[in-house]
Amino acid sequence: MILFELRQAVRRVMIDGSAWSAIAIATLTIGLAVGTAIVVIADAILLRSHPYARNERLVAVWATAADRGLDRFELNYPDLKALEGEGKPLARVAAYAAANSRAIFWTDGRPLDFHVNIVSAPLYPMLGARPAAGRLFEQEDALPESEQSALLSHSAWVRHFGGDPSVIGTGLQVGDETVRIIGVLPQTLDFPQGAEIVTLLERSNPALLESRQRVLAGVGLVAPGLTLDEAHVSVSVIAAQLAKQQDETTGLELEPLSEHLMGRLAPVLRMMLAMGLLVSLISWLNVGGLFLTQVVAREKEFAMRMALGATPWRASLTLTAEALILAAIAAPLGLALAEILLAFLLRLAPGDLPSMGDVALQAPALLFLFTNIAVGVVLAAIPASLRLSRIAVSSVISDSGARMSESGQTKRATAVVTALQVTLACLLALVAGLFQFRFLELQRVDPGFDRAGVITAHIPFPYSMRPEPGRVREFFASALAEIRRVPGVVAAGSSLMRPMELQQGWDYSFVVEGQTREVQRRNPFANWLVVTPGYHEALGTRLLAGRAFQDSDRHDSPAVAIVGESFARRYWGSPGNAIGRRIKEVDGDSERRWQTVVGVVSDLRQRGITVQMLDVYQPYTQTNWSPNYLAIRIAPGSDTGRVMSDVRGILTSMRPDAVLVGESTTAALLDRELAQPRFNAAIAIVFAAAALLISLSGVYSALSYWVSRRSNEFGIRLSMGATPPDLLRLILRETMVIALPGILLTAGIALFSLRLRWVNVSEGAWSPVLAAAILIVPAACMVAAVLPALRVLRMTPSHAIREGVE
Amino acid sequence: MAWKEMSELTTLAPNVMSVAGTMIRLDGVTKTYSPGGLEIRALSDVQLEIRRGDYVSIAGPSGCGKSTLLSILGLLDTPSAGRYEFEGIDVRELSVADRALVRNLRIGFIFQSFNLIGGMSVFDNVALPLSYRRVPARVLRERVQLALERVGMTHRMNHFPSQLSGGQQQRVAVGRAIVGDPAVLLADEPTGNLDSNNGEMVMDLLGELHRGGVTICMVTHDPRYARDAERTIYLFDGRVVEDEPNTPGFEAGGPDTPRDHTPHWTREFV
Repeated sequence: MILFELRQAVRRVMIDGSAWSAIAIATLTIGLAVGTAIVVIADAILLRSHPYARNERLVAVWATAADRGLDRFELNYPDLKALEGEGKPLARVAAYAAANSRAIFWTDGRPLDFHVNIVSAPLYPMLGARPAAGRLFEQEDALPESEQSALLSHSAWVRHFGGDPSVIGTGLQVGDETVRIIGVLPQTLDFPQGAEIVTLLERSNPALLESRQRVLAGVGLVAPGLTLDEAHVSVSVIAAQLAKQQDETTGLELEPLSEHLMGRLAPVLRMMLAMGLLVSLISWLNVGGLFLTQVVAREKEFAMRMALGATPWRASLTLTAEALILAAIAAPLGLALAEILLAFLLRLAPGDLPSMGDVALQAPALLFLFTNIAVGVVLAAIPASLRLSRIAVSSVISDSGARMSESGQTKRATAVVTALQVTLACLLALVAGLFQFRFLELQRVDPGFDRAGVITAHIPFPYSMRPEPGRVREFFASALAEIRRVPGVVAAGSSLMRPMELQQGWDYSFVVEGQTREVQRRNPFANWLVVTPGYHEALGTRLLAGRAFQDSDRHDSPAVAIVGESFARRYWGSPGNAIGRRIKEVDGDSERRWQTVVGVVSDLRQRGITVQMLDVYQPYTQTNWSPNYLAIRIAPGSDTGRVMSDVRGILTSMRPDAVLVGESTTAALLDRELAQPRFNAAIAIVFAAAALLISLSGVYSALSYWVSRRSNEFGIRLSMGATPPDLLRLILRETMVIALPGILLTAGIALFSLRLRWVNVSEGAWSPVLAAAILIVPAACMVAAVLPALRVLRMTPSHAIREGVE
Repeated sequence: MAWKEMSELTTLAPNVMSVAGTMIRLDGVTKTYSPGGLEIRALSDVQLEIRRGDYVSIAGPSGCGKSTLLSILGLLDTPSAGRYEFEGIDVRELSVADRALVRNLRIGFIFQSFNLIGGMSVFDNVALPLSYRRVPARVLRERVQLALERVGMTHRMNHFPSQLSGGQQQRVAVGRAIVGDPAVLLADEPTGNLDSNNGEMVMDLLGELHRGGVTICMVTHDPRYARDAERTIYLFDGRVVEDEPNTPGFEAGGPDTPRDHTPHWTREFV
């Protein structure tokens, strides 16, 4: 009998109901496409990107000092080891460098530019990794007498060695040392994230095992028998003891590793997932509304079916079968549209999104599609089935006392279903507006450097390979002098890190001269950077007071510092007042001398466009750290390619291994930084547009139904002297009845959300975004009302009374 | 499965066999409607008994309650008061699903406006009642073909209602009514939309079914066809005002033959 119904449904959908079924198919196609596309993206990023992190006992370990402006930052190895062992919260721990560095590895005279990380030996066994080729690190590799060994990431293995297993055993030259490739990490293991080659912490930088220097991130395995909360409490207790011993205010935090790896992406993706599902829901609500009008239009047919023995439930199977056929037609169309959507969204996706390369319509997408259809069909059939149960079966008998049931209830039900769609569309428009506003806000943020005419690049002298800082400093001093002579170069400088390269940086704990110990302990961490003379000029960071660093700021001259504008205003009221004041680093490996502030520059968004910290700059001659990045300002109209070619020539003539990598304009750095919010805004706008389109078709269907049901009434009104504008006013009122609940509810939710601040935009954003969201939807509803209104305008009284308007 | 459900129905009415001769019994049945709060009494204290194999016509002026009575007899509507027993079952005891089952298994309907479903072929229209019984496809096909043969519409089984004349549509509707072997056939003005030739043909079909043992209740305005029945029930203002057998001698009468036993007070409406 199912086949009987399906056969009838095919005919009904394909032949008899061409107009409404076309609307339903279009609606479902959009809903299924949007839902499927976001599920595919979420599956790739949330579910498939870190399969090894699914062990719920795996945690990330970070240091925290929320009261000093840092929620999470790097820790040192001794603190991490203090959490491990019997009776401790973590059964095992492992460490890795919190940020990748960059190094040139040479093989057969060929330079390989790798992102490098160092990990402690227990890391990969703890993650349960299996090598794709060769083997992973073993305890013996960590012994001092062992040869330096390295693991390649799967992507680096494929990219640089074509996935050739014979690469195992190959020696790579880095500086004066040779590291031997012993294995390849599995394809699914991108950890530490973005690292292309991994060496052992115990061999590459054994000093870190004892140092209190905070440059590491930790991973731990929660001890058996402990919950994450219990482990967290235990970690807090140990961290408090450590802080007391070390006279610090820092704590330690645990976070499920999977959550940690997703970072700021997870909540956004979850919101996107919810939005995608909402669009699907709206499409099914739309189909539900169409079915509702169908039940009324086909009331006699359903009454007949029930007279012949169908129960209301059985009669609703007829609609369910039709919904299934509609979905069966819409599903392949939806998949095709999802492919197009994915291609569009992937073009906007930030390059560092995990596993975006794996995005494709696979089994989870199809599973979602079928589940979506199964749930949606039931959902769409519910209002119509409820309506069916109220059909007066006796209406099949002519002149019986019972009449076809009044359309008032159905009209109200249709209005409710349509208003629900409009409400959801309003909400999605609001969210999309907020994301877009957020993106525009970020675009307007002053990053503290010029967006045009500046090229940055990395010269990898990795600290993990222990270069001699003195030699590197000398190299940069000579190189910069040569580079500044290149025609077209306006300014050149160098720094430890270029802006927006990493979310991490060097956290500077300081004391301002005159501060008590207690006050000093409440100072936030500052962002500390080592720079050469000319760096700020090259970058376009404005000098607000005092002077820039000069060649006269030497190792043996008085210690000096430049601070950012916010730093100066916070502690001395204005940039001018800061000149001549003194600050001092209170921990770390610096020389801990008083540094006199000689200059104030504009704030720099060093760690990301959204991160505003206090900045402290130190001349490269007065620290043990050496610069790594070049910043070159090129004169307008100069041939950038020729200038950079000259720069590369100068560098390699001085040192053959001084290869420039990661060349990028500041505009490109900013663009990369804005890729994520741009991606968020694009997805949200696609979703909102889809929701709007679907809800508009819902409004159109509801109004068309309403107009056709009342055509007789319109005819009577016209014959009694009503003018077309009078009827238009009726349509306008009906449209607003549908749109108003959505507007009010959206406004309410928006105001409630404003209090909760669940979207990180400035308060000023809410008013225009809310106004746009609640104006655009009713305006669109008016557009949807145009066709039904035109029908009414074309009515003549006799035609309307006799024929009705279809 | 349908037969299992039927047995459940029998369980609901243990006295079904004890009143084997009575198909339908109405005792004080009243039906009121309240559109817009205004109460309208469509049937008032109707007493009626129809035995198996009866051929009853229901007559009366417009608005007298004929169609309401037919709706109640067909379990399409429920009485507001009084008792209605169908094959010994008090219909008040039946759920919505049970009533649907009784309609499906025991009652066939023929309507004035045919009520064929436009989007379905002749075959599918006739098959519709069986589609609610989970009848095996082969059995369904055989029974539909048999029903179409009985109404002479086999050659049109793949056509759609819009491709048929009114008479053909009504023959299909009769086929749909009989395909499930109903115990009672309820016909609502079956010739109302037909010309005289097609009307005669439909009435011939009903007569043939009656001779085959089917109980028939037919609402009609047309005295020519009312006389085909064995008995005529007259309704006026929702009440049964007369219930008497038709006189065989008048069966041969022409279309204009007056029924001199028609009650004087209803004559002007008939």
